[in-house]
Amino acid sequence: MDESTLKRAERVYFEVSHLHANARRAALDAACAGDAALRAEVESLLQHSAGAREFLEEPALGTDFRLLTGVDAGPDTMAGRTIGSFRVDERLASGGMGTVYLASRADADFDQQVAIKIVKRGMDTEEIIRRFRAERRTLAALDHPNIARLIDGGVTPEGQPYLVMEYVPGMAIDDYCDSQSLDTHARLKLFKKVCDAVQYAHQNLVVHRDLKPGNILVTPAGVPKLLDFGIAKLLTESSPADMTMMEERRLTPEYASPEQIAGVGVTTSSDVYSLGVILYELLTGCRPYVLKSRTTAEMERVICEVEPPAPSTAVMRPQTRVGPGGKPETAATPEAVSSVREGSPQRLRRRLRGDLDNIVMMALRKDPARRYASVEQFASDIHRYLCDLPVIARAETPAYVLGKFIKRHAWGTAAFSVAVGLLIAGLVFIRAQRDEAYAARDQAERIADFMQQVLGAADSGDTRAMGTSASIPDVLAAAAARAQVDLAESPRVLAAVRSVLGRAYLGLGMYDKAEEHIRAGLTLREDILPRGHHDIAESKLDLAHLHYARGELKEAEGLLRESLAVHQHQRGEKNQDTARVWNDLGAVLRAAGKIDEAEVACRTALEIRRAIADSRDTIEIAESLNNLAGVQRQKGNTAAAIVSLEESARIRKKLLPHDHPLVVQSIANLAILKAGAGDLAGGIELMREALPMEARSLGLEHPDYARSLSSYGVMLMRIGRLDQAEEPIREALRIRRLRLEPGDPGLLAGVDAMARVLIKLHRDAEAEPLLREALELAPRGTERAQTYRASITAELKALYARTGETAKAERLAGEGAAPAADERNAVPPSDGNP
Amino acid sequence: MDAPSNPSRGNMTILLSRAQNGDRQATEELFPLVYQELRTLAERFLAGERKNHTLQPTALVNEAYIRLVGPEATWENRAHFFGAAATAIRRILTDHARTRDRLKRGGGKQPVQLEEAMTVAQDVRDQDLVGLDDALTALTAIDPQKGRIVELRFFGGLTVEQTATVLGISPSTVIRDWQFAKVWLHRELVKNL
Repeated sequence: MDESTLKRAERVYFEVSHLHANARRAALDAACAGDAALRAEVESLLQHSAGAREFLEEPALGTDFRLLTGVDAGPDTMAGRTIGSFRVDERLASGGMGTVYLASRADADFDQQVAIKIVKRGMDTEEIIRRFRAERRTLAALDHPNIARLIDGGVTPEGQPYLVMEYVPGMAIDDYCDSQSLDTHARLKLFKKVCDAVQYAHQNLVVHRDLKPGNILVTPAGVPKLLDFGIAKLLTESSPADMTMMEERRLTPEYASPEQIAGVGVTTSSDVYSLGVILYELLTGCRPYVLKSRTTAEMERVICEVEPPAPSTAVMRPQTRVGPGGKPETAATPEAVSSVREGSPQRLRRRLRGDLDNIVMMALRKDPARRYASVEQFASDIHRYLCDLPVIARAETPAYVLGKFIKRHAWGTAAFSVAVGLLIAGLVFIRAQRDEAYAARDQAERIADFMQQVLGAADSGDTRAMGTSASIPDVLAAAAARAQVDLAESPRVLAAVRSVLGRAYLGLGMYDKAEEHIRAGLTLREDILPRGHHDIAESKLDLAHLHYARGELKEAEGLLRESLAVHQHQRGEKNQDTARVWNDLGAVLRAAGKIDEAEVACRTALEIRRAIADSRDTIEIAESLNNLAGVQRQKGNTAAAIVSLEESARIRKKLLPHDHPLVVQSIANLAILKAGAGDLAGGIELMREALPMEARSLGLEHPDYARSLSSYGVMLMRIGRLDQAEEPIREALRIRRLRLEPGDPGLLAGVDAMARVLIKLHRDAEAEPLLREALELAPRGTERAQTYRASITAELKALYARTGETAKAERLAGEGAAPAADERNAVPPSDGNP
Repeated sequence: MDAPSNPSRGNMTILLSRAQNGDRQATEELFPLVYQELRTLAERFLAGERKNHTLQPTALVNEAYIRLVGPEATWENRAHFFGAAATAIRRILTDHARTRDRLKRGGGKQPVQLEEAMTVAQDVRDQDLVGLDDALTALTAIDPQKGRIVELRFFGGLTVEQTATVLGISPSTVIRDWQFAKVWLHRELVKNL
């Protein structure tokens, strides 16, 4: 071949290599018209484009610089030799850690085939042998039908360590699934078996550390077998102080977790992650990441930072790899991928969207603490999916994703520079106007709102959703510090910024910080503005919200009434802001148990808002209706409450995106109300609708989500679906224990529900400590509280009667004065109030 | 750290500058120095001088560079040194492989399974290396730039950007040539099995 032939072949090759088969043929016809030799050359090259993808990508030396010295890497003439009590038959495979041979027992009558892995020379032999001796008992004890057994191990006369393992004739799991054209369901069932095996190993304190399809073979009978359990640790863990580079180079980067790549501790969670990558690949036919090279920097960048597309998204894209000129080129089409799975790309996408997306992505989270807590939990979620039950996995909330984004790009400061800059511009604007006109104030407010948007906290719903994800408070703290310096000369804008910060902290539930900023804003405003100024009233309103959030209802009510007076005086009654104060007052009064006053406040807010809206539907009207429903329900007027709430839900559904937190709130509240009115089936149905939405918008560990989850469980319990009731109630309690203070009624509600479902499941031993806890948490004083305490005491007594613990029952005597309430009344107040 | 015996750091810098300016003779003078230094370093590592070290090829070359040239030279010099090192590594590796291959097989070529040839990158085997060296020589004869890119990337462990600097071409050209060279070499290797 000469240079010009090569150049021509190259040109045609790049013209056609990214095309699909048909288009490629046509393009080849055109490009090679009449030149059969050229065409043959290009076609021959095209056959190698897939094979060459990984080819030469790993630099020749790797870490094995021994190759440079001419020290013999070991003769490859093992066939026929005897190792231990086995005779080597043939070579099976070579990998980073050594070479695997097929061997059979040399001395026995029966025919036992084994795989012998001979560790590559150049690895730290002594250390491996020492570690092997330490771990062989553990590894040999792994006795599971889906784990290839470790049979023996030792050192060859040449000093090379070797391991003898059960020989598994089979295909790598991904090839197996494709060759059998298994659908998603069948793939999941197979994968679940793999998870069970990994979980078994974890229970025996063995972490795999190098899970990949090549290590999971499926026998012709369809039985998956995991190879090389614990071997990675045996072979790659250097002395504790120096375990980074070796491990990093030897493991398979595509399946390695971020913590493995970063060289920090490897735990069972790393196996969860690797399993997540494998499941991703089984379901979509592609890996979550494309590594452009195998350099450390690239691996770190991609595996530790890039968020992979959800599986349902990935299957609609033609799979790409880095092609010539750095441009992506097609490796597999959606049609090809789906043809061995669900038939068509659309079907596959529908199958994956939602639960399966969430399950896979949860396993793939960068932060081990945010993944499934164990392989068992991962497997259970798959099991739940296969049984059409709600799954634990939830998509990351938009706020969480945004928070990460801000953190990753160090945008916090940049965005805040913009926000603060705009605030300063706002100040200039205000000064230029030289008046206190609404326009100017609105301008400043819009700027402040923008700042909140920067935080991903455009409204209170989203702010709640954010929880205490790490980055947002950091960003707020940075903004606070910056505002102090940059806005020192502009107290009025500084006050506005501090108010915004206070509100943001309030949304995050960081009350002390919130108070610091809200009070600072208030003080500044009182210093520079005339008494009774609207901005001062605004700050007081913020303070009222803070008190309300802390349950300091008296203080909240006082401040709201003060604000109300200012608003009524300055704005008049028929005013949006005045209506808001009425609305907030209604909520505070209701919480304080002043139901009649609360109803007046809620109705007043509703009337003002209706009058302003002029027979249009508005979000504010929906809010007032929602709150009114709460009051109506508390007054025992459930039918009226349902009417109000249905109207509220209708408006919110009409005006808001379908999974907006407020829509979800309406649906969840309606579910609880309907169940309370005896319509359990209706309640359950609505709650099924609300739960995934709530999980998405609030996050998986939000107290409001826990409330819904718990209510859902209680409803299931009431209709006798005990098997389904336990899990949501348990999860809700977990969240509440995590997020709520001991005095919170939600915690009591959670403990109560858990105890009751356990009693129904005849698990008295588990229920007893919970009932005792409920008694400790339960308030005293009001009649309602006493009735509740009595019901718990009665449950405990009944339990002790069943278990024969009469002595304990006696000790409860003092509590048992009131008659046992029926279950519905006995559910403590919080799990049901809209 | 031992001072390099020969030549002086000043000489190396001059040699590198000349090589950078296209002086072929300088490149040829550079090569044996780099070759020797790499071997020495590798042997030392093996002799257990730094038992707890693990090393990547670039780190090895880097150390050789510091020993020969000093820590403060320009990136361009460094890039050229890496270029020379890539050639040296190729030579060292294939020479050993050829010797072993002859010893082991008595000249006769043993066919390897296709599967294995494809994973040559992960597990460099002697016969693959010999085959690769031959194919690379053939490629270099018809397209020197592609041959050089493979040498720098595969043997030298250089990134696309580093390769582009050494050759004074754009990274996108490197990517394209690299892509094609891999396909071409893969075909040659499999064909000759």
